[in-house]
Amino acid sequence: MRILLIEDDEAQGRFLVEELTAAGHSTQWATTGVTGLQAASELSYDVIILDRLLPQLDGLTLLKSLRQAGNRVPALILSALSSVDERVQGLKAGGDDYLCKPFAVSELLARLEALVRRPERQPAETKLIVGDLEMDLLARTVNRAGRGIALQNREFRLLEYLMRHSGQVVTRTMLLEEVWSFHFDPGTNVVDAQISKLRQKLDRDHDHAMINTIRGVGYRLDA
Amino acid sequence: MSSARSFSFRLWLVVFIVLAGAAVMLRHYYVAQMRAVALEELRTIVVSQAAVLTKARADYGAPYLRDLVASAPGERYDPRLVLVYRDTAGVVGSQHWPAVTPEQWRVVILPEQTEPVLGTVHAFAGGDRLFIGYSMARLKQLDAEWRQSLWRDMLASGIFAVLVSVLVVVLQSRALRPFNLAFMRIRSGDLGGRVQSFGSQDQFDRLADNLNRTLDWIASLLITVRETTNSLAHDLRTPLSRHRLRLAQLAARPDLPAAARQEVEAAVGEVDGLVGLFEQLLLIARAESGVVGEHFRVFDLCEVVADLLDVYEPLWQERGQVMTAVLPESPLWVHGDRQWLLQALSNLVDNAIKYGQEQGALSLRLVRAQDQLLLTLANEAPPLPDEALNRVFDRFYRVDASRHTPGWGLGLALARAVIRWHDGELALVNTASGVEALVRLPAAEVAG
Repeated sequence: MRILLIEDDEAQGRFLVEELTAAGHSTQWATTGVTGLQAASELSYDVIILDRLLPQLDGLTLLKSLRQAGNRVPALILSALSSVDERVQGLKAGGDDYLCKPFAVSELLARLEALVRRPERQPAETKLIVGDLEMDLLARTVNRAGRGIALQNREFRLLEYLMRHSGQVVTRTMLLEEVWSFHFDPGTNVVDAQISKLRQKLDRDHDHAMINTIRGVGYRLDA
Repeated sequence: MSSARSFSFRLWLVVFIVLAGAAVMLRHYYVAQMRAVALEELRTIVVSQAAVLTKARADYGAPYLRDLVASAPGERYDPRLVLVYRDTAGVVGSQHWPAVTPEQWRVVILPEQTEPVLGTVHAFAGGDRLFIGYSMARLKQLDAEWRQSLWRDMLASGIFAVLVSVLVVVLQSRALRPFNLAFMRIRSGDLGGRVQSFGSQDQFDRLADNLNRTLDWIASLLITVRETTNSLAHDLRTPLSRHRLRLAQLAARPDLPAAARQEVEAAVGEVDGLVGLFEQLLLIARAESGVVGEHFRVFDLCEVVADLLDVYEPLWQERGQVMTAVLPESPLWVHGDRQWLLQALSNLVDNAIKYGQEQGALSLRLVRAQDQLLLTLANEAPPLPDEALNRVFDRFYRVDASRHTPGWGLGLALARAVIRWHDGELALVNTASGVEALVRLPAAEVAG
């Protein structure tokens, strides 16, 4: 994907460009708010990463201007300010995701993926299908290879999220935020335990596991 | 309505006692004056009558006086005048001769009189004696009047006392109102609330002045804490971020031996741990300096607890524990920040599971009691030593044996700070089988 990175910190910027390039993305790096705004207005990107605290033009103001000008490119905000209100401000300004420094590159990559390949929800969509796994959104039922799987409400929500992001890595933080609205780190492996239970129901009695653990990053649902 | 110890009651009591006491004293003084006057009148009458009768005896002789005394009292112009005469022939005017030393005043009781009589005896040269007295009916009447009036005085004092105390209480409430309002304003986040000077140069003015200065100080403290936590967040995260970056870059180097890479990755993990620790400390600071009302909304606490139970279920199942939860059917509204309370309660649930025995029982109960919401969460575990029950809320405190469980000992500090920020309270108690966390939060009123 084509990424525009607006980051004034030299070391951070260089590192990110290296990592993003190594992951197969083409990255444009702007070091000030002004040049960033220019680049975003002139060229088209799949996703914009911008630091909140930029010289000359503050990240949120930049974002607001972009949105007002009709630019709908997904934007991920990086910031050292982590409180929930800051997060909310960032999202209100037009951001689509918010990541606190310091972060793991794998987290960033996973979130970028999720942003770019954000599935447009079809209004008439009633089913999600990944491989031999079928989820009926209206009837709230799930079956794999024709055999029904009984899921509790929260397990259903978790599986729905994984299915909507099938083939993408989802991190624990993403799951906490999106599936359970936990905007904090509970400090214990609640996510792992939830995945473990879901796995049992999903993959038992079947020849291959659909939920794969990506070490150090998160999980991925594969067909 | 108001307890016996309330200010209004005590004020009324004081005013009543003062008024009643004053009334009694005044009345007593008045009556004493009246009595003195009456007594004086009485003596004057007796003395003047004595003079008249003495002259009559001198002019017309002793037998004349005798006849005068013997005549029916009704014929005399003043029936209250009592005359008794004694000579060698006997006593007239009464059955008994009042034994009074001549020229001495004495109160005597005569069988014919209903009231006591005050009088004196005149001894004549011929050996005969005359007792001249006057009924004390008037004084008795005065005494009776006074006793009656006592009740009226008490009642009047009581009523006046009520009026006075009500007036004082109303004036006082009016005077105190601006103070309470100023406190409420700052408590709800408006750092600008101040009390206007009354311009009266009195104690209320001094109180207002002191309050305003204290509010200034509190406002500046709050602003300082907020700014500090915000800038700390940035100032500490940036170098930590750089630090992590370097380590991550190092770990990514292709020429790094596998063993070294493992070490570096572990170091990265520890930096993340540090950041997490620091984040928690900041959160606690924010919660402790938190001003009620910032971003607060009304939401259903039952929903939050239900979500929490959902999320943590696999964790207690992993430990073989069984959770019994009792939640009400209808929403329990609370005014606050959903994320903060979620985090606080999740710390409690996490602790209950982590420190509860494997295969043990867990219980959670959420109820509304009048205007409070009460949540109790209990596990089966060895009891906490008594001094630990309070100290667990200190930052970094770990009950000794558990230095091996992950975490920094901040969970309870955060939980308590958040709950107190929401005007509630958190406590831990030992039960028969384990440890119980008690959470109290004020219920929010929802219109309609």
